[in-house]
Amino acid sequence: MFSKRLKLWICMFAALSLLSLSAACGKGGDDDVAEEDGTSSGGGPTGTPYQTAGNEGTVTGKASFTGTPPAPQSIDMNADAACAGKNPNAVAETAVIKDGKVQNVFVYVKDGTTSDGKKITSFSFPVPSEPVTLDQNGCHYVPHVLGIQANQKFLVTNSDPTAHNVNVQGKGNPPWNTSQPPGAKPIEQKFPRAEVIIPVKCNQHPWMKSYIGVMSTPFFAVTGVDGSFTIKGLPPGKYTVVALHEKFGEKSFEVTLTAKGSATADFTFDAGTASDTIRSSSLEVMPAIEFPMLMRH
Amino acid sequence: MRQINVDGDIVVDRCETCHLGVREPMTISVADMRPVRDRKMRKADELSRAFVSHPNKELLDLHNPDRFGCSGCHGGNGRATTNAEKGHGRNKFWLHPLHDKENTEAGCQQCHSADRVVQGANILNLGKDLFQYRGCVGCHRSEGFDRETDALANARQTISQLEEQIATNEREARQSNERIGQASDEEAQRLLARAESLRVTNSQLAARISQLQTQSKYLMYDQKKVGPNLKDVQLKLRKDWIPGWLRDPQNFRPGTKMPTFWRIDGEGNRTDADNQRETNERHAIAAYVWQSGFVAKLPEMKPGDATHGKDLFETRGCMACHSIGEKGSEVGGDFAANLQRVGEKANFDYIGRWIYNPRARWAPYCPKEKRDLTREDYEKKGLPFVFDNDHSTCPNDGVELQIQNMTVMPNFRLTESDSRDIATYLFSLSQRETYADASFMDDPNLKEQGRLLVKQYGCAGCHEIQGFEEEQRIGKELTAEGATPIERLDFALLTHDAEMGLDPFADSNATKPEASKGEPWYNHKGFFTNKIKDPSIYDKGKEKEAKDLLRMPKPSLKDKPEWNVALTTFLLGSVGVEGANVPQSYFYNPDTRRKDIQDGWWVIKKYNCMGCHNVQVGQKSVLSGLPKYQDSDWKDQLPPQLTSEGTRVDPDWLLRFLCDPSLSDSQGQPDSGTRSATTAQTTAQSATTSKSKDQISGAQIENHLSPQPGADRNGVRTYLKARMPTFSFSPNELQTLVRFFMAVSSQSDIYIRERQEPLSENERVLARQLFTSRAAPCLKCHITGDPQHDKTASAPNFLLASSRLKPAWTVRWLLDPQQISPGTPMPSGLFKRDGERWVFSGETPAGFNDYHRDHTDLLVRYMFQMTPDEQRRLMSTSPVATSSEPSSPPGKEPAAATPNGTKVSRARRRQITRRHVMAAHVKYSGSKARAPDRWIVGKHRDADLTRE
Repeated sequence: MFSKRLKLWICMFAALSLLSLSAACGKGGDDDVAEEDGTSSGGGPTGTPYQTAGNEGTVTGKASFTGTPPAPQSIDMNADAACAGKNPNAVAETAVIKDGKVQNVFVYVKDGTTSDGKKITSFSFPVPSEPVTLDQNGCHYVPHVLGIQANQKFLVTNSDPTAHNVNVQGKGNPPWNTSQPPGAKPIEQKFPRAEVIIPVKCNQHPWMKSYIGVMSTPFFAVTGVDGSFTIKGLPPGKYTVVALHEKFGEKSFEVTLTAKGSATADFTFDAGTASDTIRSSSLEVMPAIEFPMLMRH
Repeated sequence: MRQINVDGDIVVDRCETCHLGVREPMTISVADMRPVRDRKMRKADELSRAFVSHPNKELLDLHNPDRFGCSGCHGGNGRATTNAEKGHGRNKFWLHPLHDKENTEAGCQQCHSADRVVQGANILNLGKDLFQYRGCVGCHRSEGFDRETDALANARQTISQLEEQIATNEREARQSNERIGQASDEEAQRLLARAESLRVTNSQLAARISQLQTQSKYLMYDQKKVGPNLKDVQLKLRKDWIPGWLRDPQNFRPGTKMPTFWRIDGEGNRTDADNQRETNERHAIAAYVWQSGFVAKLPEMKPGDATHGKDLFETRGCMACHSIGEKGSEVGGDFAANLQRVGEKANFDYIGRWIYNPRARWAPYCPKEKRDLTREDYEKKGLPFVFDNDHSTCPNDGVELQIQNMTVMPNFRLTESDSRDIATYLFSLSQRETYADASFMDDPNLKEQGRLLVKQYGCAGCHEIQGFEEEQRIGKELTAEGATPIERLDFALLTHDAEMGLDPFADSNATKPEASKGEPWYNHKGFFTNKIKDPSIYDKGKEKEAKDLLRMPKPSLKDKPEWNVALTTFLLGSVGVEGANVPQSYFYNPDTRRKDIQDGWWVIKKYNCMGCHNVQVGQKSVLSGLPKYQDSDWKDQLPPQLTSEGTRVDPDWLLRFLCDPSLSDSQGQPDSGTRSATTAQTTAQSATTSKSKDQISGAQIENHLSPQPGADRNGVRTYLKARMPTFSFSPNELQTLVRFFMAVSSQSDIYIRERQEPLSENERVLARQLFTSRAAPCLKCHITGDPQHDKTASAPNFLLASSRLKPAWTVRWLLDPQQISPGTPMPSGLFKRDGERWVFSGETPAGFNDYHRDHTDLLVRYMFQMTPDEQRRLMSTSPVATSSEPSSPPGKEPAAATPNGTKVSRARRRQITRRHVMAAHVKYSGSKARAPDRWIVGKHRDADLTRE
């Protein structure tokens, strides 16, 4: 059993490097890959299907902000009359803070052990049949941050009278960039692999940004206008919950959940953490060139 | 018994007698060898390693064992089957022992020594990188590396031989003529014929010489040194800093390629006399270098804006080669120096000037007179002191001069103030320290001793040093080092230790010497590994005169064991023709197209093109790995991927672009980027002080930086912050690069541009409507020449398409750009299939209802027939850019587009017929010797354009 899985992984790895997906090459990506392996190992279709025990609990919390929130930045949409017409006085959604509460924080259970000693990531969870939709409306993405399960149907719609291109820059998932003229039918895609977090942008309207968290579990949420989130259906156990904000960075904390219990996880960002997030750490020195031997000259 | 017999028993291998699984189509690993039952408990045994399948099946496909055997690549004694040790040839009587697993790729090198990059052999490739980049090549010749230096020496030697021949012929012809008077009729006829033939021969020899001279001119362009030009030390460095650096470069700049020449590690254990001798030697070397260089004072540069400098440094592309930061927090590339502490050692004025144009040399060097020329040399002949591409011959004797610094660092065409800002930023990174006084460096008595030491240590291998310009490499040639008989590798007094497996680096005073016992290392691998670690161990225990000590410095390998493995692998595989396991007929001997690729890699690697570009699928550029470019907006700022450059661009255009990436030379004059060191005019923004000239006596004075051709712009992607710099490639290298890109993309057939079907008036209107319809995104991103619009542009100008692109590629690009260049901002899905044709996938203007042809074809023809007029018309009807911002008045072209646009379209019309000739020329000018013509043709062609 174990060796079979090992082999599968080896095959997958070989396939990946052959397809020359970014993951296989370069030192810079290695950390990411390892991390994703951590989150997704066993989480895919190979994991043990999770059986609902009826004692699952809920994690709730609020994202707050201390200090003076950055002033909202208005967007100059003059480059496209269609945008300016539909969405005058647009502001950037990089940091949406109302009454000290932060919206658009992606909160997810990164890791942890259930009370019966199993890794939460070793389970597989049913993929919801209903799709997650990202709409382009007024030259904005709605929602700005979204979570989706791996292999769940993902739809992109265009409600604008102008053309967009949906540039989804996955690292572990195949990247794609598709044009969507006004009135076009929705783009239908899915993400085969867990990945936090995939940026989405429109090159024609450079201010348009969205972030997608792809998870192998259903244990994720995005904070609302009041900064609150709820993660339901989590089996009792001890977990690492991570909150990620595009500007304020990452917060990580431990949560213990009793049977049918509820736990609270509040967290606070401040302007000090407002740095360049979603970044890899260090440099690449004299890259060893991992050539897949595809190009046979 | 399984046996492979290759070609009349050149190779007889019985390896598969034991290694049964090697050719299994499925993957068999050690883990698969575990006993069937109770897998968790029992491990596979030691021997199961022998039965696994070959780990790289693709490699095995390319190198079929029936044709190459096993020992051909891996070494070992293929015939022996009695035991593993014999079969693997692990005894001192077998010349080709099996390579250790970590050195397996040494086997590749036997047949692929002419390849700078061997696909799939990453360790070997790293070894070759290190051999070149860490400067081994400065002292050791290895076939293919630094070939320009050898070729230049050969060319010069041939020239002098030919000149001698001419002189001899002339003498003989004269003698023949003198003897005619006394000769018989018959004899006189013979003598006359003889003299005539000699004269004709001489004219042919003269033609040959002129070819060689052109070649040497190009070779001087391409010849590079590993280290900086030490003639500049007085201009560049703080004097007091030099002795400390010479003593221990790693201490000042960890990881620098400058090796350590002194036995500092053992300083404590050595006599004071030894330490004193080394100190004296350093002083003498410093004194020679200091006193022999250029003496002058650079004009001062005012400090600039460090914040802006930082921004430029991080975005222009500097970090593809250079790194910043210290002690494990370095960020950037490793191709060139870490610049964290450059401010501590250098003169600000020099660095600013260097950043402005590193190729600008202080004074030209004449290889015939063997000295650097001065202003007086020019003035005596009534010439201005100008040396550049167009003024590259010596005023005294007409030979080609070295007119640029021999550095691979290109010219970024920065403005003077930007250069200053970057220098200011670099200088802001460190504090100046005080160093011990170094006034001994002015002691004339030390100079001669220093000269001898510079010679002894071979400093000129990596540096340009006055008096050593023509110095040969001092190290052993390593082309066939791996085939050196073991008894000729000098293990010195360590032979016994090696045979016993004693660690040469173990502390000799340790109480338990047996603790350092390991595998015997009396073999090639052991010798190389330890030599690379610390060459001085082979002096251990010997009583030697100082001058007889081993001269090889301790290479700087950043304490990375994998670097040592890579270099060892490279050396083990470098066995020459004689030492290979396989006959020469097995060596990789590529056809024309593959040869182009093979040649191209040497240039690609030389200039670190891969620092900025993806040259091949799967390879990541250094820039793309930097923290900055992980951001989704910065990702779009990465330089273009070149994986399919050959299918994208017209080879003729590519040549012009590589020659001048700013595409700004409206005269089309190829500029090398080297400029005169000084000219008379002064520019207004010159930041120099008006120091009186007599104060700076005897030296060349540059009062300002001469103007930069194509300053401050990219030719194609003007929106990129990263800049394609001017590399001053010689015509040789230009041609090699163009051919490389064409060959890699399987485009080696002659490219003759197809005549395009002209647009009908109706088609033009339709295309214009489509371009400006709200469904079409083209004008949102592509440069149009409207400055307001172009502020946010992120794609090239359509006006460039006709001269730059290949129409067939453009069609494929429109249909699915993500397939050609994954991650490009250009979206896919713009067109959909409609029966036999592709149609625009969005809503089309009404006129299209009656149009039944292919939409991509229409758009490509429209783009390729785009004119500045048409573009203006497009913009004035476009809802995209002009709706809110007043565009420039029609009729008056926006400045940005003018030179480019008009030139291109005019150029295209003019070039159509010529292009055929040119393309053919590129392809069929088989030998490098043809390159000069091409260069000249290029000039003429462009000259025609300007006359127009």
